[in-house]
Amino acid sequence: MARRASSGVNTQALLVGAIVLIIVLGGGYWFINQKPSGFDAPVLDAVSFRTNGRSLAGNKNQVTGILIDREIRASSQIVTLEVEQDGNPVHVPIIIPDGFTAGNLNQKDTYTFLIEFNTDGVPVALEVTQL
Amino acid sequence: MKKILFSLTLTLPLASQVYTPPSGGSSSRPSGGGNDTVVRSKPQPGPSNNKTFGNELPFYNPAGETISWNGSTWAASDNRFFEARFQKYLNEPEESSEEAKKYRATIEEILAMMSPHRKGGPVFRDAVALLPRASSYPGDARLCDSLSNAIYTAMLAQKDVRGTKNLITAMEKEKKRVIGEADWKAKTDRDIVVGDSQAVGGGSGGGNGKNKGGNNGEATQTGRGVNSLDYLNKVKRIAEIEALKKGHQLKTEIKTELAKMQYQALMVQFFLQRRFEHVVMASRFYNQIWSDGDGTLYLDDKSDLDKMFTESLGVSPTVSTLDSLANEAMHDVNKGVEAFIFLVEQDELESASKRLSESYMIGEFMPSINTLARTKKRKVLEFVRESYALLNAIESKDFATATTQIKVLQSQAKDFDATKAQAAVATFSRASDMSIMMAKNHLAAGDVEKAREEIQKAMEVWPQNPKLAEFDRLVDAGGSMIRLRNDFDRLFAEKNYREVFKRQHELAPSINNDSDRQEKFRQVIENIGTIELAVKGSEELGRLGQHYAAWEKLKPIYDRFPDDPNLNQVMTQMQGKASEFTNALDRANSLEENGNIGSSLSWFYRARDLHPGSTMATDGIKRLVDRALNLN
Repeated sequence: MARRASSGVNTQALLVGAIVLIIVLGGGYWFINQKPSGFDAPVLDAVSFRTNGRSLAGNKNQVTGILIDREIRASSQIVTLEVEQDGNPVHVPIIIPDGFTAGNLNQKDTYTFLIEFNTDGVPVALEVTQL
Repeated sequence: MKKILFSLTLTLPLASQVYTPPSGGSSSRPSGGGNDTVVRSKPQPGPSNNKTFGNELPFYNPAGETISWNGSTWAASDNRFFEARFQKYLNEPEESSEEAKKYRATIEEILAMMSPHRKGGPVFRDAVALLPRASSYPGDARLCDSLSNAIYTAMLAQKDVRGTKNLITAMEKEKKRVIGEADWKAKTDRDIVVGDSQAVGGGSGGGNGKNKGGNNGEATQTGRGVNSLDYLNKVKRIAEIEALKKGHQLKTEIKTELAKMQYQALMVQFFLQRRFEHVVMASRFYNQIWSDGDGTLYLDDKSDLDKMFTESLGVSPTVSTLDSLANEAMHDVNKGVEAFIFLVEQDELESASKRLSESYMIGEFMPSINTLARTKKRKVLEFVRESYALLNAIESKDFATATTQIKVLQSQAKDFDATKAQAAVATFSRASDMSIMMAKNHLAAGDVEKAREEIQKAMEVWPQNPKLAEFDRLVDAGGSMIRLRNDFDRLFAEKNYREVFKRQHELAPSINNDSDRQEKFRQVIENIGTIELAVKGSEELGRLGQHYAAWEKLKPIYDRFPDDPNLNQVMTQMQGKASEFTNALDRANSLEENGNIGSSLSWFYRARDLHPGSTMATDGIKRLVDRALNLN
């Protein structure tokens, strides 16, 4: 008797193809949603900063957060970003030094700052980009 | 006259029914100025000397209503003995027994028989015969027996005197006979002449005698006529008879006087015993026994009794004097009882009780007193009791009770005169109050010794003054003040300010006039007041769910008063509810102290994020921003 020839879809190939598709789509989504740092510096560990900022003196980091406050003095100011880390808000004050050109900084807007810690453990803005 | 009566009649109720000669000085009569309020119910002892009958007499002072006797003074209206006796009388039933009626009838019959106005004159023997019958009544106290005995003794004396008089008459006859014989002998006797046998005349001396030398015939020879022993014997006999006669006459007079004295003594005794009916009876018998008209009382010239009669009457006392005084006393008593009955009907109980009291004092044994109906007497009994209670209250200086008694008496008797009692109460209470006020002033000035003296005075004047209790409380309060001040100091030393605050109203008076303690006290009260205000405010915020705000409101207070236990407790409770916020602030402050400005700022922002209205966080941020920007 003759063996009937197979005529169905190869399920194994379909499964592999689905997995590949998921990987491709997920990677695309991650790629699309990834915040652009724009700066070549490590992201600030906000919790470490809040624990001991002076230990970070001289370090350069980038930090992204919502601007929630501006304390303006004569020629300089301090802005504060609210950064969310591990589900908890951490506030990072950043000195905007005299002569820093960053355009208008508006509260509630999200910014990424390139910062460098001074000896008091206070971040000093080097550059900023609005997201 | 009344004064005399009272003097006499008030004596025996205080002593006894049988007169006992009083002893003691007689010079302690009251001055007569009555003290309206201080009444002595106990006698004041006086010097004692034994005087004989009649030398002492009680003296009644109507102004002061006091009786002086034997050097002692009683209040007539406040004598315990009299009080008890009078109240007993008020409770006694009237004497209405058959025996009493018969007794009074007998006495009246005797008086009628002996009355000088009786037709046919007094019937002496029949009247005397009734005395034993009257004596059988117990209320007579056998006084009629005594009178009967005195009459009998007087009669015996009279009989003896009559016998003596007969003897004197016989002696007079004998004397005359002897005188006659002597005269005859002297007249007829002649000398004997030898050889002359003629007798001249007769005579017992012998008719053979002859006048020797003369013509007149008088015998001159020894043994003849007046020269005879016989004649001399007769003369001697005449003298003897005369002497005997005089002696008997003297004896008669003495016996008469002695009999009178004994009888009069009984009369005086009756008078002093206030047995006036007996006095009148004895007086009438006296006039029948001795009808010589001599009724002079035999009293010691220096005795009080004699002085009383002579000074009041101006004449020597006689039996008639006693009689008239007794009659007047009986009249007064009867009038007093009549007045009492009328006053009781008018509800004028004070006057009624006084009239009855006076009448009772004088005529305790009078029929009008003894037959007074008990129903009438009892109407004044309550008033009398209350009156004595008032007197006792005043005497014991219990003026509060006295005031109450005055009101009671005023309600009982519409004629009650409270003037004297009220004046006494007002005077003494005011004096006592004044001393207490002075004592308070001295005490306030810190002069304890003078305060003590004033209180002593106040207590002497009015021992039960209610204001003394007030003063005691004041002194106790003074002690409490010291204790409270010590408590205040101790609480401060222990820093137990909460207890000071809790007892602020109790402690405050104790630190008056003490500026240091007052300043401390003021601070404590203000600070704890601030704490309490903040706690209340924070509790209110807590109730609204604003725990961070509640904590922050209390924090500066807590920083000022970290030792306050209540605040500590509240803060501990709030710490749990505001832990995230307080943790942020604590960390911020800690990091700031370490110069970790960035981290500190981060925590301040975190704190303000939790409690946007937080001034502490805002201030911290501002401070650190300035520092970070090197503005400081």
